[in-house]
Amino acid sequence: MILREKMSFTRRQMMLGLLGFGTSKIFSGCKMMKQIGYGPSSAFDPARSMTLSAAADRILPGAADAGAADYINFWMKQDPFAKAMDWKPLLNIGAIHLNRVAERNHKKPFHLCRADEQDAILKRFQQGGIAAKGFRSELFFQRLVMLTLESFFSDPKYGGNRKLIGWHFIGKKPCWWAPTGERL
Amino acid sequence: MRDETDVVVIGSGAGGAPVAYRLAQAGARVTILERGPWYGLTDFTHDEVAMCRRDFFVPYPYRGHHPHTIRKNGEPHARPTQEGWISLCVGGGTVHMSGFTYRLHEQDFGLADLTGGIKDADLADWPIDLEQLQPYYEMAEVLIGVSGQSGTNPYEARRKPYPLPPLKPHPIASLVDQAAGSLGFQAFPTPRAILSQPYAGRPPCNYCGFCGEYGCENASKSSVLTSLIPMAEQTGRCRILPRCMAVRIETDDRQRARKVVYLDPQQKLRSISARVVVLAASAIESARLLLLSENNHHPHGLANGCGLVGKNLTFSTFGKATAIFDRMELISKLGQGNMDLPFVLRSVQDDYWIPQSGLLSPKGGTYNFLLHHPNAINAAVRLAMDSDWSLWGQALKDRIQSYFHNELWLEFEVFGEFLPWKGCYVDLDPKYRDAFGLPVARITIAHHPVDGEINRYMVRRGMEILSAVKPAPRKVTPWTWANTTYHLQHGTMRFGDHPDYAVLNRFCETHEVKNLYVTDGSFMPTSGGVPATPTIIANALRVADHIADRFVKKEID
Repeated sequence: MILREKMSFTRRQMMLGLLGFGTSKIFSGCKMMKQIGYGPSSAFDPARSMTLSAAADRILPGAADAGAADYINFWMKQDPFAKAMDWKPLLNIGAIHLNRVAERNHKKPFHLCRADEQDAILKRFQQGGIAAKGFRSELFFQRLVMLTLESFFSDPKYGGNRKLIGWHFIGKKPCWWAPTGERL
Repeated sequence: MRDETDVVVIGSGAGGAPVAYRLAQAGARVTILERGPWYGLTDFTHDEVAMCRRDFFVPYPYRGHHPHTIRKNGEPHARPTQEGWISLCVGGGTVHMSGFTYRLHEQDFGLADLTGGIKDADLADWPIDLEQLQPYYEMAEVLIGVSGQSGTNPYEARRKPYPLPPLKPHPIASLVDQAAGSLGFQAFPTPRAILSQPYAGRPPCNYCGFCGEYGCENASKSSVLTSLIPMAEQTGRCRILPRCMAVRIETDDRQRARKVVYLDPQQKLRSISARVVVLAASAIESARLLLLSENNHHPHGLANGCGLVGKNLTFSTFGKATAIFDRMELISKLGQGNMDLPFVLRSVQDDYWIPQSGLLSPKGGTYNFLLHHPNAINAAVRLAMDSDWSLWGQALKDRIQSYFHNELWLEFEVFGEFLPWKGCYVDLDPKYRDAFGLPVARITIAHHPVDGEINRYMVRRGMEILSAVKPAPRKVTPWTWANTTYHLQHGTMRFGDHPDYAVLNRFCETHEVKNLYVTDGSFMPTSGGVPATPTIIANALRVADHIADRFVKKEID
């Protein structure tokens, strides 16, 4: 299962690469793996990390390229935050449910679904429409929105806001970021 | 090794630093115990995640490391929370404050007398009046550096101008002036603990707008970290011990405060003897320390014979509304210049005292107008939350873009009275403990019903001002009302002349334990309708003068 998803991930990245996203990176697998919160140091199973990344990208288009998965991964491993905020299990279970619904409805994992399919699934989560014991899908959705927005506009040192894409988007002068910006 | 000094000050914020400075200046040897770290200017970045959304200033609650617990509105069980923590560092809450430096009004000192009592509220008049505090307000403003325009607030009797002229406002301030004026309100420039010109070796503000929730990397914000702490150090008689947490105050056989036991940075128990102990760890933490310091003579907590330590906890009642303006429309009226300035610097206090309103209390508060904080994540999350999380995807991205490029959000916040009553207090949690195994402070909070009524009234009135601004805002929406500002806390050891009804005497010394003073917000029997920081600094200076006087008269041995 993991192997299959790993391969499909590579295919997807190839496609993105062909479309002009990070062409130079598709040949350096290791670097790429690191960039989606992948590999031995990840807080999540790689498949879940991809699921979360894909969901973040629908919540805020561009968030995946800006490093949402890396950002989330960073904080879910970061003590005492990780100890204090019991978010990692929620994100894990949320990712499992996203994939479950995707497999049931579309016969493929969430991150390989079409954008409109992903949106329909996320909307059900947002509205609290996925019932499971001890899991509230709307809460998972809200946490993910919060982390996605944090990742996009945060100091890049946490793995998000790659190439300051978030700060360029809101169009503030570099002095606005000072002293964080001066360090960059 | 035996450690002894003249004065131990517990806490280095608005209550502790002024006492340390003033007494060290007068010749006493002072030691400050501060639980948090000692940050330098380079530690203060604009990293929104670290400063506002993680634990830079306030610790997380997690298993075995609970900062506080809280029960809101009659909940049966308390749960761990970060709420009620002001700031954990040298300089305390003044480091990340916004620095609105209003003084109290005459009425704040005699609410019980003036109202004849309010049902279910536990009002008490102050044993001092505004007149006694005025010279210390002036001293505080000069010591830390406050900018403002004297003679513009019709409700404030000032003898001297502010030490610094007002900061430069965003041009929308002139529209606020007109809108307020058209409804019979008088807006005046908000005094700020921010430098508008070089002062005492510190540079003026660079108008980055990252004041509230952040430390100022420029040292232009007049926190005690940039003013009174270095001044205390320069006397050569003040020693500051960061990462040292006081865990117990001990008394001698004559019921005088004599010794403070604390945990040093290596978590080792140490003690320091002193002739005077000044407690200023915040209204909540100071009460906790007295409750933790029980002994045979004080079985219910040190100086707690009257049972009032921790009772009558008050915060500040908070309300807020937002007006969304079209940026281009404003530019066409006001010009492009100065559109990026971060401050509005306008306040209205016409609803501070409102017996004519017909509400159950005549005590209102202050409107403070400001632009929405420059925080990007906060703004984006708020846009998502305001839609009840239904706004996401490209629509959310477009909305965020519009917020930053096409809109300007003018807001006001209300600082309102938080009536003391039986529904809000702090005690020791029977279950949860902190990282050192000590019971944590348990906050029980519910608003007195009148607070909500007054606050809703004020939010409605403030929205009328926002709506009267020309060019008209696209939308005026209330954001919150009858809410709580947990950073502003008072009342847990109210002062008064009768030992049955007050923990502290008029000089903030405990009635039961000699030479033990409390100088944070704890002394305030009522919260007032403004942020209390300048009042706490002023009162601490007043208490320090009293202690110095006692030293001189050899009343302290």
